[in-house]
Amino acid sequence: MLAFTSAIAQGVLWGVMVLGVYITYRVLNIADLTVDGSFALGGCVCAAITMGMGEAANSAAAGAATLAGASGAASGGGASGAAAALADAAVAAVAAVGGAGVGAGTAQAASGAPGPNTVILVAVLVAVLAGALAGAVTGILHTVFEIPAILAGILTQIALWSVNLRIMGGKSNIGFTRTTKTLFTQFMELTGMSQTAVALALGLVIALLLIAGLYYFFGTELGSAMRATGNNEDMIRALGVNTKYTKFLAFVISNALVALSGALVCHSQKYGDVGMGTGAIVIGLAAIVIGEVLFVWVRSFLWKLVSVIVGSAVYFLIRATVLQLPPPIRMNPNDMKLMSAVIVALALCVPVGLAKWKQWKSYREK
Amino acid sequence: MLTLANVNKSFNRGTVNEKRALEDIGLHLDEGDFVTVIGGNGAGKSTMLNVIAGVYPVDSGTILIDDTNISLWPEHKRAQFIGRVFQDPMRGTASNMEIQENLALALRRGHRRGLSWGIRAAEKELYYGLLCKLGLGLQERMGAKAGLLSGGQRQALTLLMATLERPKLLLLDEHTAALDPKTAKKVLELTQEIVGEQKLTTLMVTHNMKDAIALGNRLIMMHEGRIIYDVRGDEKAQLRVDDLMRKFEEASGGEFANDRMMLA
Repeated sequence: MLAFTSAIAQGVLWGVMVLGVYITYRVLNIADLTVDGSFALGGCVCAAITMGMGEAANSAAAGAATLAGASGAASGGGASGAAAALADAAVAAVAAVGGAGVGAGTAQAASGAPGPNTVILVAVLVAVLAGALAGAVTGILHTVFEIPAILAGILTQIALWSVNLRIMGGKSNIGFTRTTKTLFTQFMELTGMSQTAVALALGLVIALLLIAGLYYFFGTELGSAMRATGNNEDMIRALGVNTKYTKFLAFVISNALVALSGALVCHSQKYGDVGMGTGAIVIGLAAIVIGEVLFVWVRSFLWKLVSVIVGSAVYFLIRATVLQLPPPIRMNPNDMKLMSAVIVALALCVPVGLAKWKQWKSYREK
Repeated sequence: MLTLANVNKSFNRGTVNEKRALEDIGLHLDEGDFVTVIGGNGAGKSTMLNVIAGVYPVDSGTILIDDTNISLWPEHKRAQFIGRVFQDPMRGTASNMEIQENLALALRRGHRRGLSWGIRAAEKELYYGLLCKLGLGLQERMGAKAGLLSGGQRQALTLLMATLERPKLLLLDEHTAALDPKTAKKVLELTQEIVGEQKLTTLMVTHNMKDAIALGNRLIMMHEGRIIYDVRGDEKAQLRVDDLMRKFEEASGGEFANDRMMLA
């Protein structure tokens, strides 16, 4: 039972990523492959800042004795210098990626021994900004330089692999320690709820806020223009909209959401990993089609956004289920990516196959 | 109002497939001119409208609207002056969006689009009134998706959208060519009504010579990227289809007989 609740919670946190995918895939009609990279980017930035800045703060507060144990797992060396160096590396990398302004702010915060809440906030916010920036890169490659969207996304995704490794100081993952404060442990302390309950509740609150925000945005003049860009580009350009700008903006918003999801997942699983985004786009597409099948009668945009989150939760529920079946039919975790690819492929193949079959069935010689 | 001076446009420049679509076009439209444009296939009619709208850049020459040089402006920026209706009914409306949403998008042509709500309650009344005037019953279906409309209904809606925010220039690119004769007639009547009411400066490309003669105060004929005939006022009013055919044969050296322009 707990496993299923936990799967739903996981689905909701990943659902934030799926909202991002929805913007490019369903609103703009583009499958944006940046997602795999920007999801990991969100997680890596978040992990690097949480451990770098957070452990540096710990050392200032609790002294070197605590630190030796606390940062041991993270930095290997266990010296305060190593933790500080990690923070510097993370900040430097983020500054290089995210612009000097963000970097300077982070550096200042790191030196001032911030509280855990500040660390968490900065970690998540910088992750979101980094995601937005990754989206901007894909957006510029696609709109200004007219590289096909799929290829533009692949280029950014591949580049982000190296960027993510640099952000984490050359390591492929950063694990939190038992004492590392995360968004979720802070709320667990505050409310006394279990990890799973907090993950679910917090995930739902964040998802609902985002749905409300997106619903409002896509109802505005700018948001409507963005929807029209995906629907009929010639028409909306003839009505005076710079479709390069609306597409660019969609990539930025989408990848900011994806990175936010990466940051949330990083805090919930207590580590950031360079490979955590691999296959994210396919999970996103699978969640979207599951949501659409479950809410097939839904017409309003608001409910379509809701269906995205539900689709994601159901996807993770299916995953948890097939992993817990009795041995002969239990699925190997290694086969999960195959499963999500099959779900998406089926969803894309079935309508085409059905249409062809109907055409064939309805043919009469006379 | 609209001035084209020495406008040249070639496609596939520098290759064996080079095609000079517009050759040294010079054209001036006065405020309120309603000009019909005829010519055979590949004469450059659509290309002329497209370079005015900014779909592709000109190779040389200048395009002015009210003394503003728009030759190098991108398409979306020129849209503040220009309303357009395309030949393909699918191109003029966003099929996944509601009729009223389409109108709301059109009302904001030439204005900055910000974060205020995309459609206001007062607008809906305006749209209701305008749709009533179309006489197609669309006013009762304002919340329906534009994709549910027939080709004729979509062209009527596109025409309404193009002129909702009064354009300095209206470009109609064979906007009735894809419709059945009865619907085409209805859309043409509507065109005449709206253009007359708002006294719009208009360029209308058509393959139908009767329409070209019946509508507007001026007619130009194009052939191989040039304007070969320009007639206005009383002289245009006297024109008959035969005159146009003869004029065309003169210009093209008799190749005319099989052309689509015969469909008059």
